Amino acid sequence: MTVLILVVDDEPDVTELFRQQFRRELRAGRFTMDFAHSAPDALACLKASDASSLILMFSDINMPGMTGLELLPLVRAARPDVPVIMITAYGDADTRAKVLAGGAVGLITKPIDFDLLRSEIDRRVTSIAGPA
Amino acid sequence: MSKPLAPAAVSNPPMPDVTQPAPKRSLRRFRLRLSGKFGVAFVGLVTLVLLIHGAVDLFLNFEDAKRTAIEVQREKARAAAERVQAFLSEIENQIGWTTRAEWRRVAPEQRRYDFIRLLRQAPAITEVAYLDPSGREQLRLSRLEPDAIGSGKDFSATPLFTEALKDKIWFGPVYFRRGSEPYMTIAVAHSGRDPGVTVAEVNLKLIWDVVSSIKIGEGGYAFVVTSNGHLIAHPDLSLVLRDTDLSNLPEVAIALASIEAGDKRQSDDYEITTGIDGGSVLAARATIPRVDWIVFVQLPLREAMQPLIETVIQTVSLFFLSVLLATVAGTYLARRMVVPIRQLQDGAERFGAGDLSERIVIRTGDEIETLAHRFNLMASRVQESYETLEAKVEERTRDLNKSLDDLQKAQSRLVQSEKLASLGQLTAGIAHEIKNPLNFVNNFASLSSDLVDELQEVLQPANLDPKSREEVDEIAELLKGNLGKVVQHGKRADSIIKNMLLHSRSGSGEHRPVEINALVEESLNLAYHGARAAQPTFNVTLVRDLDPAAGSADVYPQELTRVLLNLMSNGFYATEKRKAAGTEPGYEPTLSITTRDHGDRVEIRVLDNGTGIPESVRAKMFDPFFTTKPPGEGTGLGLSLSHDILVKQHGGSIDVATEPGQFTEFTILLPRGGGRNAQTIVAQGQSAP
Amino acid sequence: MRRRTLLAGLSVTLAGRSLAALADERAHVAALWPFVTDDPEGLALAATLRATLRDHGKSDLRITDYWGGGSPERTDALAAELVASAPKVIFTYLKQQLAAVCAVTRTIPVVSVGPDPVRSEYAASLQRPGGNVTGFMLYEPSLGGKWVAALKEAVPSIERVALVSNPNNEGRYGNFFAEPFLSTATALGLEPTIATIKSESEIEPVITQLARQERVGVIVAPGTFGEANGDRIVAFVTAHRLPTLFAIRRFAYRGGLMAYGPDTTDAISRATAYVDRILNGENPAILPIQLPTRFDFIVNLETAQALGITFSSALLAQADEIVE
Repeated sequence: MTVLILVVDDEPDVTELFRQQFRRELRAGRFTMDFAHSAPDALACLKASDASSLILMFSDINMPGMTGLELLPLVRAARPDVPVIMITAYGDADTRAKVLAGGAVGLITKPIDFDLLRSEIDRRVTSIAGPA
Repeated sequence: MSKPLAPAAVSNPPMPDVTQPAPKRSLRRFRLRLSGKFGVAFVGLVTLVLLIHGAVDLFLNFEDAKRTAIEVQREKARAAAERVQAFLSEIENQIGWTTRAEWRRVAPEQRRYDFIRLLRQAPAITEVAYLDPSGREQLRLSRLEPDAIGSGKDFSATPLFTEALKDKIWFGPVYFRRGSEPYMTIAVAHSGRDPGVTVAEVNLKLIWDVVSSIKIGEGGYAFVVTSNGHLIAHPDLSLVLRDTDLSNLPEVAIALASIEAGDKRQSDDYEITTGIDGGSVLAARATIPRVDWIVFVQLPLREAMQPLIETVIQTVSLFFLSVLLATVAGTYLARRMVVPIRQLQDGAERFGAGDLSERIVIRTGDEIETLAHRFNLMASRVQESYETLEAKVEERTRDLNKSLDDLQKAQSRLVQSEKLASLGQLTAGIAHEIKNPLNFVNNFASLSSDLVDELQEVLQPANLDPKSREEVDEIAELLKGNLGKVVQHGKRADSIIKNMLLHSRSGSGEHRPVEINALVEESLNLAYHGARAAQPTFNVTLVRDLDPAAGSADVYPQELTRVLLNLMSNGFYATEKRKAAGTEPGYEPTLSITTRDHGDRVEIRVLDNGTGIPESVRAKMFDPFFTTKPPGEGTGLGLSLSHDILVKQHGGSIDVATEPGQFTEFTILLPRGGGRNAQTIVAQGQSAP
Repeated sequence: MRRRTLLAGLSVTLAGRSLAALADERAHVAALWPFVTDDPEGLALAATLRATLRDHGKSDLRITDYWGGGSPERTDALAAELVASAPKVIFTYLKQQLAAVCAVTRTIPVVSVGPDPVRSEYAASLQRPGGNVTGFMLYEPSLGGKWVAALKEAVPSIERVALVSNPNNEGRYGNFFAEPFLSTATALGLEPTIATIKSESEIEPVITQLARQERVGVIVAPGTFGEANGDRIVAFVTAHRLPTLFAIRRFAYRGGLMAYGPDTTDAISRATAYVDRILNGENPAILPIQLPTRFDFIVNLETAQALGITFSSALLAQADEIVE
């Protein structure tokens, strides 16, 4: 079973960034990452994914069209078992409150602290798939 | 920025002008008409009164004069007749001396004597004769002829004898001796039995004296005519002597006719008729019955009416004089009467036009004066109210000005805030936009650096000639170095962005009353801990001197906090630099914070014993983007923004006292009321040395 | 009233001025007298003339007196001179003077006192003269008889009476007083004589002649001659102790026994009124000539006494004036 992590961000370079940042893990096959560049894409991916494979979703808030905040409740409704962590540049309390109220489990701010992210992902994956 | 309201001249509200079209002309007419009215009324009234009076007077006078004249004439006629009568009676009497009954028996000598005496006494008698009872002349005495004694001439058949005996006295007809001398025979019978007759020839020329002495005014006279109309007495004797026949003269004719008709009224009518001389005369007549003469008294009509004419002239000239006087007086009075009214009018005009400076001066002592007084009162009150109004308006203007000022201040602060806000937003926006690419730059640079490491690792086991390996290592190192630089610069850019975001962050834009000491304390903590977080080795002594009476002030707390943070961190930086210089071993970096109450203002002081500020820097320190910090450490926006926040947003002031190498002290003065007293504080701050 | 007097005054002034304008050639009145220049009687009468004219308001006149005395030649000469001076009115006293003037002018108005102009044919009738002559008569012919009667009464003893006449009394119809004189004298039983004295020199002889008669009374007729020579006559008749009656009044005062004549002053006053009227513009032709009205009988007691005459009380009663 492949653990899937979905990353939603309209910026294409984000994909490259994540791939490079988690190249070892990806090469090791610890998990797979899917990248959606818009909310509808994300929803589609969500639908398409295996119910059990998707274990985590990261989503940027600032996206053209449907924003991350709008996407959040939809995702939560569609896959309540998938924890969503929002990514944003604005780390203010207001956004945090909104995000949490939307059902996300956390909020990380840009610039992304990839080490923290790695540990977070690792924890979750480990809890599901066992230690790497 | 609009100019403040100058205290405008309070313009007087215009009085509602009722007489609108061509007011000037109607006013002029009005003036003329009033005084004209007065004058005309006055003159007219006087004229009317005088006319009436004059007419009535004249009429009465006319009647009176006529009546009087007629009466006078009648009287005169009567009197004249009486005088003539008296003349004749006198002669009669004198003759009577010789007709006593005993005279017959008187001796001839005595008779003659008597006759002589008679002639002496009666100058009118020219000749006197005695006829004996048989009618014969016995004695005759004459002035012109010798006496005749006992001539015996027989007169018994003559009327002078017979009539005399019959009627006692006989007045003969008037005859003219030698054609010119008027004579009349008067025969008087003696008394007693068997009487004789004394006959006297009377020269009527002597009546002339009587008649001509009858004075009838200036041009009037009396004349006597016989029953035939012959003139026997007239002031002009020559007329008499000419034996003038006046029976054709109208008055005479009428008189003769009435006598013939038996109309024996004694004093008679008057006539207005043509006199002998041809002019109109007022004539009256009286009859002398015994001789049947008629005395006419005539007065030229003009003279008779003279008093009347005079009265008329008097009345008329008085009338004209009075009218003239009345006109003059009337004009004068009217003018005078109108003058106060005009003064009133002028005054009202003035007041109406808004000139309340002069008061109407009228001292006529009547209602007009009262009216003027009221006008003046009204003007005074209006003036007062204007002045009050002016004062009020000035006050209001001042208030408004102040409000405007305040508003403008607030507006500028608002604009400033907005500017700041928008700037903030802009910078925030920009910052955010830049942040993303920067992140990528950093991330990828970092990744790339890692990848280079990995490459080196991968190449480690590879067989490479030492030269190649050296090149590879070198290049790898170069790559890592470059990427490191990229990361470094990216971090620097990031830091700038952060600073910008930090400094440009607009708060909620609210201002509220805030405890100054609390805010200062909080800022200090933030700054201190922030500094320590950034550099754990950071240490500084904090000195707090917070005035308990500092109280609260209406401020923008976030912005003020930012300012204090800015100042404090600058202070920390300065002290660190001085400490880092290391030249003063016992140097203890200290930051002192002081608050003080200044009534409607509150003072905050930030004092550091750092490196101080050189003169050259001091001038520019508040300029935007001016910084003394090395690149990467400061944006240069801090003090500029702090200044703007303090001065423009809070209406406060910031001053710096410094000594290079010793200390720097920033003094902030904030008005408690926030924006309200902004201007004053600014002015004071600017004027403070 | 003031206005009236003003008007009157104005008109009077104007009239007076116009009159004065007329008279400002200074109207000339010339008077011809039978007296000599300094004769008091003449001067008195001339004064009366002036006074009366002044009373009539004619104060601004030129009045010239010509004193002819008793001389006919002189009178004629003066008349000529007088007329030549072109007076407005001529005043003559007594017959000679009138005759002298009328010989020179028949146009200049003449006011005569004394004679009968009709009788001298200078006027048509008394009531309407018709010419340039008018005036007042002093004597009537009947006085001739009156004088005789008076003389006779005063001196009853006279048997003759002489009328001393002079040429002036002579006219076309004879002596003015002749008829009454003669008839009355006859009626009274007196022998009448008319003695005409032609000249001064004849006075003495005539009077002397008369004095030769016994019981003669003398009547001195009026006239220039009488006026001029009256005093001489008085002297002569007194010397001859002749009872004389003078027609001219004043001689009774001057020694004559008596006089019966008119009041000449009064006559001149009345005549001057005519002068005034003529000066005012009246026509002398229609101013009637007036007869005498008043005569005064004057007796001189002194003379009577000297003549040994006693006047009867009747006579005295008749006298208007008695000279003592």
